[in-house]
Amino acid sequence: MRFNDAVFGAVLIAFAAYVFIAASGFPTAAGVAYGPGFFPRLLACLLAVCGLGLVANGLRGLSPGGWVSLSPALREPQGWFGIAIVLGALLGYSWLDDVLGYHLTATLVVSGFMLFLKVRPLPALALGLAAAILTYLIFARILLVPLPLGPLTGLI
Amino acid sequence: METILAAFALILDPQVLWVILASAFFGMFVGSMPGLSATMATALLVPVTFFMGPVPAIAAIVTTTAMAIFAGDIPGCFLRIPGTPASAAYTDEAYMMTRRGRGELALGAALVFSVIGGVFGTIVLMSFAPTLADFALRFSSFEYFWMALLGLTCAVIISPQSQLKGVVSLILGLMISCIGIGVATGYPRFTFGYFELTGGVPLIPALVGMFAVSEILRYVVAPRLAAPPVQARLGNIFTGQLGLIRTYRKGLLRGSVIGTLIGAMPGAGADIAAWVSYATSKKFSREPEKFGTGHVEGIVEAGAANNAALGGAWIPALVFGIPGDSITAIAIGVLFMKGVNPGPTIFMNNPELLYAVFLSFIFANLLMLPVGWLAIKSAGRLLSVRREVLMPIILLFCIVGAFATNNTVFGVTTMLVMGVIAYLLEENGFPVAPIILGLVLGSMVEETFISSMQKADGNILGFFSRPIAGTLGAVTVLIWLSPLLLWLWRRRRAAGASA
Repeated sequence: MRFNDAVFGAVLIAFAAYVFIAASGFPTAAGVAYGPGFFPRLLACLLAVCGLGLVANGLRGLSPGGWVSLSPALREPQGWFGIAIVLGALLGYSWLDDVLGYHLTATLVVSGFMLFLKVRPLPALALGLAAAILTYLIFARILLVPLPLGPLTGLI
Repeated sequence: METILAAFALILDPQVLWVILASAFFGMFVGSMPGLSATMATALLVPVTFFMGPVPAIAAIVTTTAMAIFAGDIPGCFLRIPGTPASAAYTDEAYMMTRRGRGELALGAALVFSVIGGVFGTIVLMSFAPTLADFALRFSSFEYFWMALLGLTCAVIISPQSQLKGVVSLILGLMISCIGIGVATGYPRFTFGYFELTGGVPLIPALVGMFAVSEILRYVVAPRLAAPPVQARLGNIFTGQLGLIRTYRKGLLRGSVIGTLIGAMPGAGADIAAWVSYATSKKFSREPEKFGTGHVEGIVEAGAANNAALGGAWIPALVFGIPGDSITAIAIGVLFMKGVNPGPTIFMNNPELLYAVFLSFIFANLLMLPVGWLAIKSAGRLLSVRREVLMPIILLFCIVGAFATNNTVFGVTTMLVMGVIAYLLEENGFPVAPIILGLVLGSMVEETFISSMQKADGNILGFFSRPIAGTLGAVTVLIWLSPLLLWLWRRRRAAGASA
C-alpha cells in the first residue's frame, strides 16, 4: 500500500506535534537545564521539518493516481485476507494461548496459515502439530520458557 | 597470551561448539532461502541467544551471519534469485556460469572466496580494534556524541532511495528509544500506562517484528510464484580454485580490503560492499568485456568482499559501541542485555570475551567450508522447501521468540505493532536499518548530548572545543551540509558556463 509522500508527511507532522505537546508536559526537576522532555521535543521539531519536506515533495510530484495506490495483490480480496490472517494469528495467539494452551494455539496458527496458503488439509494439520511440538521442546524444555499448557496441564 | 588461552577455553566449551554448529546449519538454511535475509536469520536467532551467556550468544550471531551471507549465493547460482541482498550484485553472473555448465566453479569460488574474505576481515578486526580502542579511551561525552551522530549520519546517507526518508526512519528510531524511563532523566516517558513499557520498548520483539513479521506480511501480499526445480548436476566444487586464487590474487586482496572498509563504515554493510567490489572488479579487470557473460572474476572479488564486510562491521561496534550495520546493531543490543557494554573499556575489562568473539569468527569461517559444501550438495532438496510451509513455521518461531523474552504476550503485541510499522514504512520507500540504529543508539545519543550540553553550559561551541570532538563534529556537519554545498557549487558552475 503506497501513500503519496504528502500524506505521509502530514501524518508525520501530526505525530510530531503530538510528541512535542506530550513531552512538554514532562516535569523538569529544579536546577536541571535539560529535563526528560528536552530530547523528544528536539526530535519532534526535526521530524516536523522532515514532514514538511515530504509534503513539498509529494505535492510537487503528485501523480494522477492520487493519494493512495495499492499494490496489485491488494486490489484483490486475497491479499487483504492474507494480511488479516497474519495479524489475526498474532492477535489470536495473544488472546487464546492462556485458554487453549500453547500446543493447540500454535497448531491452530500454523495449520490455519498453511491452509490459507493452499497447503492440503492433512499435511497442514500434521505440520502444524509437528511445529508446535518441536517449538515446545526447544523453548519449554530446553530454554525453560513457561509456555502455558491450558487444558493439557497435568497431562504432560 | 593468557587472554588468548582463556578465550580458547571459552570457545572450546562443548556447549559453545554445539551452538556454533547448530547456528552454522541454521544460517546456511535461512541464507539459501530467497527472501529470507541474513538480518532476518539474526533476528530469529536473538530470542534463543537471550538464554545463553555472552560468548555463545555472540558466536551464534557471528556464525549464522557468515553462513547466511555465503548461502545467499546458492539460489543465485541455481535459480537466478539471490538468497540474501548481499548476493544480488553477482547473481546474474553466477547464474550465467551455471547455464554454461560451470556451476561448480561459480559455487566453489563463492564458497572459497567467502572464507578467505571472511578470515581477512577478521584479521583486520583483530589487529586494528585494540589500537583504536586505546585511542577511544580518551573520548569524553563530546566525542561519543559526535561518533554516534556520525554513525547515524552515514546510515542515512547510504539510504538507497531518499535521504529524507532515511532521516525520518532514523528520527522514528530515536523516538522509540525515548519510550520508558530514560537513563539520563529517570522519568517514565510515553508508556501510555503500560507497566511493561517502563523499561523501554522490548528490543527482541521489536527486532523480530521489524525483520521477520514484516517479511511475512510482504510474502502474503506478493504474488506467489512456484520456484522452478533445480536441475543442474555439479562436479567437484573445489576443482580449479587454487588456480583462481593465483590468477585473481589482486582482485581477491582488493575485494577483501574494500569489503572490510565498507563494512567498518557505519550504516554500510555486506550488500553495498558486494556492489562496490563487483564494480571495481570490472573496472580494473583485464577482460571487462567478459563481465555479465558468466565470468568468475567478479564473483571472486565481490564474494570475498561481502564476507569481509562482516568482520569490518564489528570494528566500530566493539571499539565505540556504534554498530556498522543492522546485524551488529542487533548484536550490540544483545550484548547490552547481557550486561556487557561494547566500547573501549571492554578491551580492558573483558579482553577474553573479545578474543573469544574473534576466535568464533575464525571458527565460523573455517566451518563454512564443510557446511557450505554440504549445503551445495543438497541444494536441490534445500531449494525445493516450499515457502507456504516455511512461512507459517517462521511465524510460530516469531511468536514464541517474542513471548520468551519476558514470558508475557506483551512481547507478541509489540512484535505485531513493529512489524506493521516496518512493513508500511518499507512499502513507502523508508529504509528500516536506520530505525534499528536509532533504537539501539538512542539512549547513548541522548545521554551524551545532555551531559555535553550541561558541561558546555548550553553553548553549542563547547561541542567543538576538544581537538578530536572538533574534528568529528566538523566532519559530521560537513556531511550534513554537503547537499547544500554541492547544489551551490553546481549553480555557480552553471552560472559561469552561461555567462
